[in-house]
Amino acid sequence: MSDAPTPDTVPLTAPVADPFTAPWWAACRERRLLVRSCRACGRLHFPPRPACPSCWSNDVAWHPCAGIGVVYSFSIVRESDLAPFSNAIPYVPAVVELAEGPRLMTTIVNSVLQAVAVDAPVEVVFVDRGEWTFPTFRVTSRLVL
Amino acid sequence: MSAFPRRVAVVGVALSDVGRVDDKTELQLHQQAITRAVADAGLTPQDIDGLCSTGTGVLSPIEVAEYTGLAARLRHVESSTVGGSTWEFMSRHAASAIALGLVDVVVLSYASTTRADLKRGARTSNLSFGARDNLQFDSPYGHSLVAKYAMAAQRHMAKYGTTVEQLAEVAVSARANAVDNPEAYYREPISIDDVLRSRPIADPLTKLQCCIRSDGGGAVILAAEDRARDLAKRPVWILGAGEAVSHVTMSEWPDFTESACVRSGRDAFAQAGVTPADIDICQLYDSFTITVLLTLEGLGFCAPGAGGAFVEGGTLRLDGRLPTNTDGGGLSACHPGMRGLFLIVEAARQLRGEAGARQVPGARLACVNGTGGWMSSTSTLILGTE
Repeated sequence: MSDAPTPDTVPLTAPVADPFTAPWWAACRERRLLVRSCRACGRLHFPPRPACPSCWSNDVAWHPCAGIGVVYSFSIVRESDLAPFSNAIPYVPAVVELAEGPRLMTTIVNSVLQAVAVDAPVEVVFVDRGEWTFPTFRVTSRLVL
Repeated sequence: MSAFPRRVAVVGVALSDVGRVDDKTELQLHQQAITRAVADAGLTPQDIDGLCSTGTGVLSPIEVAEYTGLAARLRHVESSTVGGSTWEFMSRHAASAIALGLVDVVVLSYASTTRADLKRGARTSNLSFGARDNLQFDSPYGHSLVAKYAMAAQRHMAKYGTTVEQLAEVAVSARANAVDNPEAYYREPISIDDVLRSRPIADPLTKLQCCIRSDGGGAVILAAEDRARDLAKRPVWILGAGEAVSHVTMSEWPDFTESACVRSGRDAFAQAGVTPADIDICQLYDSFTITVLLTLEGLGFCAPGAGGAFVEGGTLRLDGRLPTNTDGGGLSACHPGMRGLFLIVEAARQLRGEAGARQVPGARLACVNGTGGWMSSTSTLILGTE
């Protein structure tokens, strides 16, 4: 059995944040995972926008999430020619559906590869890398094989 | 969705040099393809008053117009940038403009030296779009192009029980069709085992389930009915067209098992007044094997989730129930990066009866579906001989 990367080995590259998204990245540094919540229509969204993409209201605020969800889908990448990802094979890009509803793109850490599956429960593992902190996820169920 | 008020036809098609092209630039391939398509149609350069292209640089259609000397005569210029489906979008836009009488003869062109560039190390197989705006929540994690499509396959397998053997059959059928195409890049038959035992790239996709990387280009000429009737080749009519977009950020794709062709196909079939049951052949963008399953389902050739069972037993082969990607597709014949234009070329050749050893007897109605990005955009064309 082989494993997904660890927080030390998981390949990550720097984002280009902007004044609007800076609070989201700062919250990650503080181990808080945020999405956006619209007070007008009640919908949550991610990636974050200043205005609600559903109803276009500007009455939108940051909303804390529990940091748990399920794997919506994933792949185990076994070949890449794009550094630094090519140096960290295999790694496991995934789209996670948060318990609150929105999905986010992420990568799986600290998990047995065979346990990564569609609908597998996951929890956030914040990974510090230089000036950034990234929300990665680990599988929390023990899959019976 | 009403019919075009002035009928529009594909009147000329051509490929440039394809396969391994180490001695020509992209613009040289554009010029070659356009020249050949004009000759195929029996037109002269002076007849052209519209040009659609993208992919060469920041001012694509103007670069092509300048290089070919067409710039001063153009009154319809277009450069949609929605990925490999772009030429299906362009066909719909050009047909609309022709139908309105804004332009009479429009050239669509494409060329790329992807294979040669990769060989020289001038590019990687992973496109990089930066890390700003929504990409700051995407690019850090290494979701490669193959991984994005692999995630769609993974979800389809989990939701519907689709098997890796069913996915592999798409690649096996494409190769079987390529055997009879002298212009195809790979022509040696392959088995399901060969596909599954090829190098794993991003689970569940193996090397032979990924589109090839070749060089090449092509051109398609559209013209109004009054021009199409007395040209060199039998017109191939654009009977219906539709377009749709979905997502750029994968987490914004509502359902990884549903292609936006649900919408573009609905419009195209409605405009043409036909149904999937009427279609003789398909040319469906096959960036990866899963792309074809999602497209067959989305267009209504089978029920959602039934794509795997539908392709089993050789349905997509030249002698199958629904011959699809009759030239060998992007999986075996030709895929320089954006394949949309080649779909139209092959559909027209089949409907004209010019496809040689790979001709599907009696092909009269074709469905073409381009898919761009990572299931980000789709455009559907219904083409016919009547």
